[in-house]
Formats: sequence, structure tokens, C-alpha cells
Amino acid sequence: MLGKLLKHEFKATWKYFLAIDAITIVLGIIAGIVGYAVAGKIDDFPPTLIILLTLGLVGYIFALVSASVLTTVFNVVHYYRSLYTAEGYLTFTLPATTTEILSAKMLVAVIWQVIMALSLATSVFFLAGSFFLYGTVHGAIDIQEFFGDFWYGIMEMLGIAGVFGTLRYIVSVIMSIVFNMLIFFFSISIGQLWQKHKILGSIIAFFVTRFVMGIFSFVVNMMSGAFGMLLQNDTDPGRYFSHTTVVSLLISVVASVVMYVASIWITDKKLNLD
Amino acid sequence: MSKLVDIKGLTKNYESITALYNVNLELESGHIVGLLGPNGSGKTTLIKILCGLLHPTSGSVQVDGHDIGVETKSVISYLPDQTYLDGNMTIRDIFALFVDFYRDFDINRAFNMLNILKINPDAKLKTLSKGNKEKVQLILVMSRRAKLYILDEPIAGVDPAARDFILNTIISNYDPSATILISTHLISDVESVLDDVIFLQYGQIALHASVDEIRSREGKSVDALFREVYRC
Amino acid sequence: MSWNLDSDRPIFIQIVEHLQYDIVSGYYQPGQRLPSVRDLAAEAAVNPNTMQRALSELERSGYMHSERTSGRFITEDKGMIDELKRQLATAQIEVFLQTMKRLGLSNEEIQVLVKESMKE
Repeated sequence: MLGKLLKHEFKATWKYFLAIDAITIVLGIIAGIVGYAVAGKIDDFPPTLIILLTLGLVGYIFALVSASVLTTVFNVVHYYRSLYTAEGYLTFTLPATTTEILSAKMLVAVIWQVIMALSLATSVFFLAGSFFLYGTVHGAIDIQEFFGDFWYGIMEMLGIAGVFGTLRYIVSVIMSIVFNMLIFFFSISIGQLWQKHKILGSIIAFFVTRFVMGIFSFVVNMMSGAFGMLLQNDTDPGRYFSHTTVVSLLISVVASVVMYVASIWITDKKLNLD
Repeated sequence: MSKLVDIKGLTKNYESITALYNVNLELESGHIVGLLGPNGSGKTTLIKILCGLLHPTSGSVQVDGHDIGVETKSVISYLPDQTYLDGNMTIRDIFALFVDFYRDFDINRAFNMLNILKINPDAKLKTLSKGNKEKVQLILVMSRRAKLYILDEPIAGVDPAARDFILNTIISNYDPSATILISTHLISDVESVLDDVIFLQYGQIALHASVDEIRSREGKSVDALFREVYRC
Repeated sequence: MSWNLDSDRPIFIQIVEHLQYDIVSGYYQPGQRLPSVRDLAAEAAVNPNTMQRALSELERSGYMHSERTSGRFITEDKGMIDELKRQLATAQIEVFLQTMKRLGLSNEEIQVLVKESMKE
């Protein structure tokens, strides 16, 4: 049953998300081509053209932010609409358990968010890649030197260097996507406890949950030893960041499990469609 | 024949309101039953509980020998009292969805009915008129070979031609081994297709009898009886 | 499309009567095959279960019979149909006579009036 639910969930959503993802990547390719074309010649350009190029870059960044926001909004609205509006009359009378129905919706939403993140990365990769390519072709950048020292230095500072560090970073990115989506889903479930003003209830629940989680995460982090690290002058930034990443990861795993179970439980016991 | 619906001591409270109080109801297979009563009498609450859209406060509800859950949802074909489909789907999409989820969905029957109405299966649901949307929903519901059909106010607010179409669809797709529960407050329009009526009042069953029993005992239509006795 | 049934008498009885009139009037000929229960119920806009019961009742009385595979047929016994016609007519006449008597007419007066009416 979960398989069928997933299939129909993808069927109902793929057009919108793939369109946004495709636009994101195509914009990156265009930005890359323009970037390659203008790289190294910027000094000779008239001011008007430079202003236009700057505006283009700002527009590109704005488009990426919009694509990411739009994906989240689509996911949240679709989740809400298909479960808790009139469409819920069909969704909740399908021969499936509440756990299966909600899990399928949550999983598909998270997958679209991850694909969005990958699309953003791909898009930026094209733009950044064009400059590297230009630099390499024209001998301005020594690739080996760049990745050897500069890049590795950044990764080390953020505590994500090495295979293990990179893996941990990827896991924590995915986990933060899961965590962030679950805050939305959990808040929507909480909103259902109100007899009226269910959307307002959800919005309040969202900000309260965010706030509480933020405080909680900060306090746990500090108490776990990060505070001490911050005060010591000789703390290695890599150690600090990898420490907080791991602590945050653990917190988000625990919080996600709690919110997942609570969302299903509330919906199962307290569902009341208008 | 075993009981298709078995409700014992069902009570449902919403915060301060009691929508259903200590309802006991048994329905057998092979009947067309009218669920009658004024607005706010608990009809929709009872239906939502049967369909698994609401949890009872107390009491037990079984359909086809199972507590409300996946098994009962797969034998109940439910028509809500509002349009409930994703407007961006085409009729063909929604048929495909029903084929996947309901083993008893007869897609040929569905396409036949659609043909009679001359509705394009590739039309998106949101492009259909309100009347056609309701007809498509009725087609979906009546194309299943379910054990229990629950139709919530299927003829409220439709014109006489649409009403005739709806009643005709129900009659001509009715499988004598199934039971249809039709909720309505327009008693006179459906009276002649009902075997039995259940009358709900203030969250309790005030009367459960056959239409012909009422007519021969009272010498008047069920509609007239209810207008007099219950003023609805 | 509906059969214009009264709303204050049991539907079952009215369906039986309606079908009896259809047989007697020749709307359904002796030996003719009847439409399916579903179609008849749809035509009359009544519950198929009630239609089924009415048909069973008429079968029990011998006015129709069902063949396992090919459907349900009107009896070919013309004598039986004539007898039914006589019964239905008699019943109507009795109602008529009672009304006339309430108007204070004697049997002779009724006969005269009926004959006059029939001439017109």
C-alpha cells in the first residue's frame, strides 16, 4: 500500500517540482556561459554593462532563493491541502493506515526538498565551474593548488574534511531538511486541534515549535561542551564545528522522530475535516 | 445474513456538544436505507465515523465484522457531501487512482457512464461544471462493487434532471447484495427508492422502520409523517 | 419516467397493481419477456428490492414465470389474464357502486345513468 501511495504522490506533484528544478539548473548553465564569456574581460567593460552583469548576478541569486522557497511552499501547501481540506475526504478513506498515508506524503516532500538542494548545488556548480574552467584554460589558477590547500583548508575549518567528515556533512544536511519539513508537518497537525482557525493554529504552532527547538538546541549545544570550546583561545574551529554538527544532528534526529510520531498520532485520533 | 453494520453504544462528543448519544444500530446487507433527520441531528457525524474520518468518544462500530480501519475502508464506497477531488487531475487520472486503490472498482462501468454523459475523460476536474463534478464523483462511487455505499446528501441542491440522473444511477448500479445508506433531508425525493429509514433526532435514533411499514401503519408518506411528528 | 405512485400507500402494493394493469391492458402481451428487475426499477424510479418482491409476488400468483437463463415472462394463460381483468374491473365497480349509493341512487337509476354516459 505504501508503494501505491508513493506512486500517486509523485504522480500528483512531479510536474511542479521538476519544472522548478529544471529552471534552477538551466539558470546555472546560462550564468556559467555568461560567466565564462566575461571572465577576465571585466576591466575593459563600460560601467553600464558592469551594472547589468551585477544586476544579472543578483537576479540569479534571487531566483535560486525563490526556487528554494517555492519548493518548500508547494510541499507544505500540497501536504495541507491533500490531507486537511476537502481532498482529505478521499485521502483518509483510501484503504491505508494513517501512518502509511502521512509517511508517503512526508517522504515524497523530503525527496523533493533533497532534489531541490541538489539542483541548487548543480546550478552553482555550473557558475563556479565556468570560472575555474576559464582560470585553468588561461593558466590563472592552479587547480591542484586550489583544491589541495585553499579548499581543504575551508573544509577543515568547518569540520567537514575527509571522507568521514564529508559523509557526516551530507547526513546532517539531509537530516536538517527532514527536521525542517517535519516542523511544518507537525505544526499543521497541531493546527487541527483547533475547532476553528486551523491555519492560524498551524502558523502559531510553527513559530512556537521553531522558537522552542532553537532555544533547546542552543542550550543542549552549550551544555554539551561547545560553550567551553568557544571561550578557549586555542580551540580548533574544525573541532568546534564538528562538535556542534554532531550535537545538532542528534537533536534533530530525536526531535524528528518525536514530531513524526506525534503528527501521525494527532491525525489518527483527532482528525476532524470540515 | 450477518450484520453488515453493527454499532453499539456509540457516543461522540465535540468539546461541549454531544453529536451522537448512545446510538445502537444494525444494518443488514441488501437494503437501501435512508438516513434522515434535520440539520445538526448527527447524520454527518455518524457517516464520518463509519468512514473512519472521526474517532468515536465511546462505543463500538463494526462494518463487515471489522473495526473501522483498512478492511472497512476497502468495502465502503463513500460519497461526501462536497466536491473532494484534486482539481488538477483529469478524470482519467482519478480513475487510475481508484483502480490502484480499490480492487472492486469497475473501470469499464465508469467509462460507460461517462460516455452516456458525454464528459471528456481527459478534462481536468476543475474545468467541469459543479453539476458534472458531482456526477463524476457519483460515477466513481457507484462504479465500485462495494459492500456498503454511503452517500451523504447526494441530491441536495441539484435540479430535478440531475436528481433523476442521480437516483437512476443509484438504482441501475445497485447490487442486491450490497447496502446503500443515503443521508438526506429531502425525504420525498428519495422515499420511493428506500427499503428502510432511520430517523436521527438530537443525536439519537428516533425511528428505524421500513417505508412500506410506515405507509401502511400511518396511511401517509414517510415525508408527511416526519413533517408532522418531527417538524423537519 | 416515474410511475406516478401515490405517496401515502405502500410502494410494494402499488407496483404489483401497476404491473397487473400493464398485463391486463396488453402493454405486456401474454408470453412476452419482461425487462430486468434493474431496468424496471429504474423505469419506475423505485427500489430494486421492492420491484423484485413485487415480481416474486406476481410469480407466486402465476401471472409470470421466470426461466433460469432467459429472464422473466408473462403467463400465456389467457384465461388467467381475463380472470385478473374481471377481478380488477369488479373491484373498481364496487368502489364506484359504493360512491353512487352514498349519493342515494338506486340500482335502476345507476344503470340508466351509466347507459346515458356511455352513449355520449
